[in-house]
Amino acid sequence: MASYKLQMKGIEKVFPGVKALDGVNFELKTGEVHALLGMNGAGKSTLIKILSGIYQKDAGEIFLDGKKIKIIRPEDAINSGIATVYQDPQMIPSFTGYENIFLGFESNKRGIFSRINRQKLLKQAEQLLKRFPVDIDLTKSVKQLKTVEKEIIAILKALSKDMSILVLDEPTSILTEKEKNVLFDLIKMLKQRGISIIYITHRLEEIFEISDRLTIYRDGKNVATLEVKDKETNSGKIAKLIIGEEINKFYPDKGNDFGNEVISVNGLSLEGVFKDVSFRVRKGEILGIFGLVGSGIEELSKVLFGAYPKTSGIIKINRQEVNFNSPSQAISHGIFLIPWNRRLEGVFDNQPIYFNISLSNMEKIVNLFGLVQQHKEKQIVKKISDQLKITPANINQNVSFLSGGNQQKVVIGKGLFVEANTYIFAEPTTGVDVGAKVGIYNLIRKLSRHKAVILISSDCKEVFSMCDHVIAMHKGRVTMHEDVDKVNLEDMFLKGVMG
Amino acid sequence: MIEKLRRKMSNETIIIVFFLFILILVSITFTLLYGSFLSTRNIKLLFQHMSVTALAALGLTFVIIVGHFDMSFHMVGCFAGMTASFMIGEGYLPLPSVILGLLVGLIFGFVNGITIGKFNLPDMIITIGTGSIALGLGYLYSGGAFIYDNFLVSGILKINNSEWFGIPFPTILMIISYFIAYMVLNRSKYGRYFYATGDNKEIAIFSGIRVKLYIIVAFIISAFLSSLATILITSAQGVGNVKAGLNLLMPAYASIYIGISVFRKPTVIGTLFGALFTSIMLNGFTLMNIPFYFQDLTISSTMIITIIFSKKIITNLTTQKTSTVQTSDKEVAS
Repeated sequence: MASYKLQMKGIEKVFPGVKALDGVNFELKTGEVHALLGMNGAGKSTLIKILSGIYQKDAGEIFLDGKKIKIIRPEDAINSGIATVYQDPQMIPSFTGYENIFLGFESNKRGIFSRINRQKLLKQAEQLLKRFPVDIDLTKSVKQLKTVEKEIIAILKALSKDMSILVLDEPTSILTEKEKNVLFDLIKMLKQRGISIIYITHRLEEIFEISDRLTIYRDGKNVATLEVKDKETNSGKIAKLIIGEEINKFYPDKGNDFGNEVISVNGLSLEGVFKDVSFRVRKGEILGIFGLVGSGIEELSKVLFGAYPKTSGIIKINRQEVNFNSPSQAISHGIFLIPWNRRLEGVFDNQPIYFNISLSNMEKIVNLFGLVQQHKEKQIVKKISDQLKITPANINQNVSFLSGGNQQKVVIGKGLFVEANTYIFAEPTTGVDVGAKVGIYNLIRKLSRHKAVILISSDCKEVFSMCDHVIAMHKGRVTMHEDVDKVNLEDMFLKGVMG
Repeated sequence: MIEKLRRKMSNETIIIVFFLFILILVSITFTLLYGSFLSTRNIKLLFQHMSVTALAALGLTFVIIVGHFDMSFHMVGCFAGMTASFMIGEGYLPLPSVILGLLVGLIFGFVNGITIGKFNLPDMIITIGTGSIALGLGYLYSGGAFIYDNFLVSGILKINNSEWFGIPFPTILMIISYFIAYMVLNRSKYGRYFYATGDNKEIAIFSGIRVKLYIIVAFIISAFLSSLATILITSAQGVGNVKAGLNLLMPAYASIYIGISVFRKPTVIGTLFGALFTSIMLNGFTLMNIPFYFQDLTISSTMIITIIFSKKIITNLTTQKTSTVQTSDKEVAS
């Protein structure tokens, strides 16, 4: 019992409509690197947020050094010696490294006139830095630093407060290979000093490199805790445990009647992001592209939609080469993207439903003078809204009153209004509840009967179950390109997460 | 009683009725203080004066809709007015003089639009800069002195003085401009594009809207209409005064923000309401012989009070009805 640094027992957390954590346990030994694994929505982030005081648990107990503790606010976690570093940590960009490290703790004296002793702070920060094999100029302002340097400064900030448990939330997802090694060296040093580290990642290969043990979660429940040194622990086994056995039955049938080629892409590249992507999609077919954050799939979708300029490669629509460098031109060539982030790229939430749906193809409903024929607009929008079963059914309703699933349907409706020939869906089901998910999957399949559909997602099950043809991408390279019935889910998952 | 009323009317109607009530209240006050406030002559004068403010405010409305600020329009107007005056002084006919004046205004609008829309430079400081350049150029024609030459004989005064069917020409210009702007912003696809651009540029780009183009056009419209407004002032004053347009700044912004506080977003009708309101106040003060330097003071105070008022009281009045509709769409843990 006493050998555990931290124990979390029977943790439960319920969000509206979802049980995010269902009696989850977690045990952390002193001086170990413990990896947390699981797909999006498995519950690992929720668990960490409870540990760091951002969320409050609904049930369960937390023990630190065998003593029961209460974590209600983020300060409680910090005072208990638990520090969390998120990917791309938030800092004040114009302040220097050491100023950020001691932000809020500059001086013990009270009062506005208590002077900040910069020399002393800098010296303290340098001493902190000297203990680790990294070389950072702490007098540079943070905005001039690389991402890994920012992360290290965030870790130093945690260390300056005497902590014993460090939580790293997907620290490597936006780092280069070289930067990753710098970070790993630091993690090894911390471990030698007896600091326990919880390491969340999607990248399996890193686990063998850095961690001692790993715990896998699925659908808010414990699946397994494994020793990395154990001979039976291999990536195939881990992949199986992460994905689970059952494939949900709520996915629609695969396509079977493929028509003419609609879109083809040859040697598409965006310098420094992804390289040499080629594929073609026929009418009736869904192409799936699977990859993690940093694999280049997000940028790929934006290049296909003209939001980013391509470096090289050829895009053909109906066997005709096309060139475009803005979304408005891509739309006129018949390509439509249902974008990544609804709130930032998808819907105007203080505008009514009809405004959103008709916006991308106003030509369809205006007369010679560009005036909107409101009767016609309402008629077509109503038809689309009924077809998608958007609720509330009142198309004059502002989109901000709609649930996430219905907002997504509005974006899809906008695409239907455009009557494109190629639809690109990017993470179509994030922030959408299960019921709405089924609806969206059926819509995508139905849409694909007359159109080419490309589904881009970091959810491997979604890609595998929805698509007729799959591509896996890892760090900007295509690592798998197969008909879906010739591959199994674990292989595809591994190609995406390990290359 | 208020409960009953609230249930019967939509939020917008409540606000509009409330606003009209204040408008009538102000008018009655002025009539009581100064009997001839409601005389035909004064009403005509009021509308003539309002036309100028309303035209400048209308152009600025486009810029506000696309989510930007224009601090140059009144100074660009000065340059346009002086250009036209200079042409008149040199003996040219009114028509080419006015056209050249409008043209230099357009050029400044285009420069604003390109630098802000295409190159993403900060709107405030750029327009203060371009506006000061325009004002500086306005001074060059006469070193700041008034231009009187040919004003009485050239026919430029007719722009302000002529009437069609008993309606002053500036008022007709205002009505036509507002009608076109209303059709564009409320009824046409371009209106949707302007509003979408101002609401969220990123989403607008992903919806296939050429946002840069609409920002450029908005700045051009702003500069054009403020130039037109200043030329009307020049015609009314019968003299080329480099400072003619400077008094447009506060009334134009006040008109728009009074409109926004009524309709919750910048609109053609809202700006028209705002211009009417500010003009009634200014006209009333003129009748009461209150010195001109109180104009900006009172207009600006009115604007700020309106904004605070609409934020505090009207939101309280209306949100009670809507707040319960919001569905809980908390982000599910990832």
